Amino acid sequence: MKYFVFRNATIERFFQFLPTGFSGYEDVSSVEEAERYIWFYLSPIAENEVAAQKVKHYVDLLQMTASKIGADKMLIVFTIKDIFNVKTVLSDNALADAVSYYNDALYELSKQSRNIKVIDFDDFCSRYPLIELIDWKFYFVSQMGLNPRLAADFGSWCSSQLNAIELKRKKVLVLDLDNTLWGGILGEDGIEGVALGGDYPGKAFSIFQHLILELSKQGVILAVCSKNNIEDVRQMWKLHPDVVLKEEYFASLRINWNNKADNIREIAEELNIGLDSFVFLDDNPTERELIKSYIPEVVVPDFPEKPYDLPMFFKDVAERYFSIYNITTEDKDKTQQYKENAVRATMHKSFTNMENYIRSLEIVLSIKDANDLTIVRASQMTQKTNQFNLTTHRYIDADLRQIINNEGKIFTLSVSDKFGNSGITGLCIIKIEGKNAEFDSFLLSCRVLGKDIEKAFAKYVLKTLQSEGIEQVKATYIPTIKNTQVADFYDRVGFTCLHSEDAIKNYIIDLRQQEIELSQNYRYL
Amino acid sequence: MRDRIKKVIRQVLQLENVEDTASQATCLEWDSLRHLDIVLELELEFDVSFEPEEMAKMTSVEAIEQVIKTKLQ
Repeated sequence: MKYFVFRNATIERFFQFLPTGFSGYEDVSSVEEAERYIWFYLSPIAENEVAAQKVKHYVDLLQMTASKIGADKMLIVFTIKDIFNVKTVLSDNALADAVSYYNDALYELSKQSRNIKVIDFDDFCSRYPLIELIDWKFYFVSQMGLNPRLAADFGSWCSSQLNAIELKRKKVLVLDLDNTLWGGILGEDGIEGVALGGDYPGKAFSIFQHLILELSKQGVILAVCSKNNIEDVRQMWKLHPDVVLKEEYFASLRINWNNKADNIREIAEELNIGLDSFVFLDDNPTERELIKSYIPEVVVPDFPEKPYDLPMFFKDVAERYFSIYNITTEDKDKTQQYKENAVRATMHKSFTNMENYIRSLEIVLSIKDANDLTIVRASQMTQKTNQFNLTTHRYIDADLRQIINNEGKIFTLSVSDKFGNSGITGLCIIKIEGKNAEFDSFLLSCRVLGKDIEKAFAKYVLKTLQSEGIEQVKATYIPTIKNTQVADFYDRVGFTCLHSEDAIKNYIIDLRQQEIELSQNYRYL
Repeated sequence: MRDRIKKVIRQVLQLENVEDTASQATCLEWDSLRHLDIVLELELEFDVSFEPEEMAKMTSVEAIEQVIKTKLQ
């Protein structure tokens, strides 16, 4: 990155940390080719009246220079600090007034032209007593307007200021879907059930989508990272009348059940954009924590809990990370461009630290027999759960009571982690005849998926049955359009598939001489 | 002392080697800006403060040595 500095004093020493060219003193006659321009004028050393005149004159020089540079190159301007102000007449504010006139003019310019950024030089000066800011010997020997001994400090202060300006603009916005771009869970509530458009809260999500679309038109690249079935989402994009952000606006999609850290890394590779240019929005604090700890380069803002806070949330994120200096047509085509360039190789890269991540969440699995208090919630779960549901049997609470009365067992699972308690989010219904048992239903809310909890839950249940003398457990997978993700679940838990017909699979596991190990990644209650 | 002076000059000017006879006149890299850097580094190295008149004189290794010797007496 090549810089060019306009200046009125000897300041080379202060910009040694940058590859920089310099103008002559107070010289704006020629503008050298550079990628960034810096305007660094120091308060002139002169009697007040003259200094004041000069400072005002600098505003004209700056305006001229800004128009020469044009709007597509960044111009970073420093405010002036009146380092030498001789006040014999106490009411004489000529220089101070001129300095504030100058500084106001800078802020005004930066408001008018988005390529002009102001750095508050006073922020640096205020760290030192006035007397240390200038070394008069070096001022007179070589027009050093600042104490040369401060050069190193200035360099580190200035580069952090420049970084703040440069880094402001992120390139990619990665979005979750459920409860982020619409209210509710698509896999559970269906296209008709999610909140988007119409009354609140749908209205809030609708505005949110419109705002994001505008951002995309300004050159921000959009991507999706969501735990969902891609077919469901495609249907949503196609059929929902109020969808604003449709498939064509996204440069990359990761709609699957893999962990999101891997997914975001893949998006970065696919788009060939560094992860430090990514912002990730997700309503789920656990997902946010995952990305924060495993891809710290990615910016992960806290997501508002209430949909009515979405507009201000958007404003904050957009201004903080996606401020745009100038829009070019190239910017506008970016999503398209990246889509075309993207290499759509599917990569299977395991998240090596997944175990550590799970442990860091301090997950507690509380597995209990259903009781009078929980049986209603259990029946509701059988009614509502579609995706992680092996048989999709629907029951009312009376049905469940009957199963218990016929020697059956019903286990409920509550999951809590360091972010809070999700309540009852898993259910296993077991029918028992003598020493033989059968998993009638096994289901989990998708809120708790992605942490291998489902496997731990199943194993815990099997171990409990084993300790109660059960010898064999049968299980069945009955496919529906929504539960394909669990087609091989029982295989993964250690059941043997006896036979399958019409995609219905029958399983068995023999608990005699079976050592069932529980994962140590969770605590069990 | 001469070696310390030469070391400072070498580092500021980023040169491989500095001769005893080196001076602003013979050394292309030794321009007025670098001269100032040399003065600043020498002030730190020898814990002295040069007067402007002295700075103006310090245009060669030999002259620098003279000035510093006088100051340290």
